[in-house]
Amino acid sequence: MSTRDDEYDYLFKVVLIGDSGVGKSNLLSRFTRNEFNLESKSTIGVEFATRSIQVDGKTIKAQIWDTAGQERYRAITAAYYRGAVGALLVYDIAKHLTYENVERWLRELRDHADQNIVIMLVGNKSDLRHLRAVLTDEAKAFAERNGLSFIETSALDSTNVDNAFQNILTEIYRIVSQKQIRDPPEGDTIRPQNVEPIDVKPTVNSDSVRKQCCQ
Amino acid sequence: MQKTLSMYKQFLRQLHCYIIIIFQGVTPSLRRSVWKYLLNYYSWESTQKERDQVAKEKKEEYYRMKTQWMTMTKIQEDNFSDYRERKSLIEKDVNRTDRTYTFYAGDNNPHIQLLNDILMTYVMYNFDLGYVQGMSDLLSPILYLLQDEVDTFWCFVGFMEKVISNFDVDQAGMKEQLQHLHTLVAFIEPELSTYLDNHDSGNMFFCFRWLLVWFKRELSQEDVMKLWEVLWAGLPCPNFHLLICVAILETEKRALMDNNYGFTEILKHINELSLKLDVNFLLNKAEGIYRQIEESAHANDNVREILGLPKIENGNLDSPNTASFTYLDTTADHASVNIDTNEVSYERGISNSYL
Repeated sequence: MSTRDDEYDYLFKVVLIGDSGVGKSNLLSRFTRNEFNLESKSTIGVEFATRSIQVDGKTIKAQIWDTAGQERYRAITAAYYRGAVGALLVYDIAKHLTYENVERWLRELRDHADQNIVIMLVGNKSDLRHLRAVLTDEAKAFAERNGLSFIETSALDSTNVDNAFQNILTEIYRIVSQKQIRDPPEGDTIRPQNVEPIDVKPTVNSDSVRKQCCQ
Repeated sequence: MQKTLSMYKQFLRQLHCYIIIIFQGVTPSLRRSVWKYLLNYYSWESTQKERDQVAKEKKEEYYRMKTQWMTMTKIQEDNFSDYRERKSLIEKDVNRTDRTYTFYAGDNNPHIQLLNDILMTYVMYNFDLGYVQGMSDLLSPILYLLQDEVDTFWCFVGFMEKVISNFDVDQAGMKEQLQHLHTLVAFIEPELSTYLDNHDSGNMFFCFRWLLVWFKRELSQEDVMKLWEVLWAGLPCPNFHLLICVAILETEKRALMDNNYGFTEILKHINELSLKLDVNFLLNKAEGIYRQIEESAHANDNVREILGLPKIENGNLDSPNTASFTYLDTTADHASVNIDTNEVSYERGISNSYL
């Protein structure tokens, strides 16, 4: 299935990162396929899926990359940060260590991703109320201090999953569309890849190539 | 005496190879016994008495190591973060290993507990490596077949010895294999190799999962067992798993190129081949590719070395420098000029990616 002739105005690449077992793959499957799999396997290497949403009447296609959480594989997975305009940094609200490691992941992004990448801190597994080990306010304060947006989600019962993606994609869209007003692309085409602070190819699909409603 | 032993060993090897390759559907009980040899639990030339002795000693050794982690106190654990991390990762991973198979399905499945115990004991056996993701995938089919904790552990140890470089901290083993794979593709399918290079995929990262766990995620349990037997036997050559990769890529070449797939679509296409591959077809095809290389007059030494074939005899190929120089020299036809360029861009791709 090719994605080239899909109907969209913007294509944003977003990476899911965070410790192993925090629920990255299930956040992805909940958002893109509305599925949650208790028997899901650990991710080896990277996988990705897409879903389109509407913001301000524009169709935004999110290409979400799910990566292996174990530190050992970062040499490989970091190669996939290239071109990402957003990152969901996920921890497990019931496992404090996964929250403590958030700083390491932020360093990882600083080292390997675009400096202007939009980052959202995501406390997943909010359904595990009785096992909560990370306080919402603590994580929220941390996110504020570090200039990240913040949300708690549950891929299992769907709480806030759509909101999390919707929020980060909207935030990226605002930045990109403002940037376009400030700094209109020359001739709308042939923009060198990966040199813009935010690497988004604006309005890549002209109306003439749009298919009849497919989303 | 020495000669008789070596002939006997040879005979056994051939017998087993025969069983595996010709009668691919070996029965579970025969397979249970064959795997112990293939994974160096028993040596090929051992007598029954020696095997009994080995089994006894290995059993004691296993339980000694198991007791070490089982008797760790809470304070010890609290003061040992590396251990705690490994323990937690193992727990997370066994609970998501092959849960769709009946053998591992359901709550409180005792086989999940066994996976956990064997991996924890492996941490004590090889603390430097500890536990790395992917290892539970390698263990699962062995336990499924042998259904014995101690035998499974030692066979797993044998398997890990064969693939331990896949789990290097710096991933050097994986990088080398990806590079070797590129070299093979460049030789067998230069057009595809050029295409991949020109589409940001010359680093072959999209084959990472195949190589890391030897197609465990791509094949059914039954098929992966069949494939692993062939690979463990080292037949028909070392690194045969790379030729399986080449066989898949050759099969998918038209789909990748005709659709003009780029970096992301290539990855997606390859990921989606999972559980759609035919292991018998791939084994046959990969063997065909091997024969082709074996008989090829212009297979350069880089390619031959990967597959354990003797270097071409022409006097000055022994030093690595001359070998790589000759590699470029002997490939001065149209296709091979591409190989040359590809190799350069590939090297660049690899180093960029890791910066």
